[in-house]
Amino acid sequence: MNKFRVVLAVMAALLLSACYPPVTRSPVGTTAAQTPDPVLLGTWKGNSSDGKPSYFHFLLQRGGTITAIIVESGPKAEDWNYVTLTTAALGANRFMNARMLLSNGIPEGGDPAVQPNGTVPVLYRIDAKGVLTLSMMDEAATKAAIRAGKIKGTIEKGDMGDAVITAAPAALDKFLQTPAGLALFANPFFTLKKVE
Amino acid sequence: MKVPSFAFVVLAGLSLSACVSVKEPIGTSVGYVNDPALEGLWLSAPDDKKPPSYIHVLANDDNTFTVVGVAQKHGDDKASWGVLQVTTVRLGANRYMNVHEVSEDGKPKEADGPDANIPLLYTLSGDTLSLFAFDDKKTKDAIKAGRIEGKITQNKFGTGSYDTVAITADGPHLDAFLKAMDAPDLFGPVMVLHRVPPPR
Repeated sequence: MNKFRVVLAVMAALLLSACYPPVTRSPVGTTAAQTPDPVLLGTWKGNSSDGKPSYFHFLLQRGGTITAIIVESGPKAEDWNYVTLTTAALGANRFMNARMLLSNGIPEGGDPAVQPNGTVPVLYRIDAKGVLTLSMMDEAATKAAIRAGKIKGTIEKGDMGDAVITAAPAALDKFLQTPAGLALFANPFFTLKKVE
Repeated sequence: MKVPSFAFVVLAGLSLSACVSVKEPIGTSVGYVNDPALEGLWLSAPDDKKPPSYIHVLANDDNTFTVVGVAQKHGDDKASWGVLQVTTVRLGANRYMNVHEVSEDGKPKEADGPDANIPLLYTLSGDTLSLFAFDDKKTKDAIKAGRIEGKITQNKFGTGSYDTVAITADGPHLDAFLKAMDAPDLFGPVMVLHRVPPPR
């Protein structure tokens, strides 16, 4: 099981699980247009669900990917992370497919080769006031959905075993447009406001 | 001397410091202690052409700083980010930092030797951080006058030439020299950063 150190550092919502959040073998949104969402680009600041402030810098890269540089802020700030992501819209919902590359300068998991075979789906919403919220799949709910056959996937052994959704792209995208699919996403782990 | 390309984007002013190298980082004879006044987020002074860059200064347990700099895409300039490692030292009343580029856009920089280190003088005034680099001409004059051991090499470039200035004094001699009250006179301004108040 991969330790998801950025979770410990930035995404405090996952502190309890201390393992990699659910991943999808295929990125979300391959059946729709995967284009970088221009609304994201720029710098955002906000707080994790446990109140820790951070800055998110979303940088457009060649090839349509977005680099996210996430830097902790406030007293005793010490952590930073490098994430690459793509974005896609499925109906009215917008998703990121995130891959952690570096945590404090160290390849996630200590070795790029141990990266999970997939990407972390993140549901993001921007409300009328311009507040951006980020939600990842709840691990327990995702495992329950896999066990119930609602979505195809694998679960590693043990309570801390990682969940991987292995559904084909079309099935995945279809599922994530249903209430059952969207219900897998937990409460936001970050709430951000764009820095003008 | 090799100039970090990241510096051109995020710490553009540092490129000016590329003309003078030091044999050893500043402060090796006294050791490094992180200056807590540097911690936090800084913005480069915006100009008419470019938006400010974000400079995050994060303190490490080993008395080094990790600096994460981010510049958004602007015009033809692509978005860029980089990581620097910085040590700080106080010599007398003067404050110095040694800047070492670690990576640019996620790719490690493998610069080594004297060229890998950018020595800077810095001052803090309220929420303003000013960075100064060795002034090429003044440093050459100091070397010629025998005030500090160094080497001036003339290099041909096209039809013209330029000088490479290397301070070759060892650590203790460099530190003693830079402790003097008038040592800042050898430096020229390269950039100004403004502190972003920490989130409440």
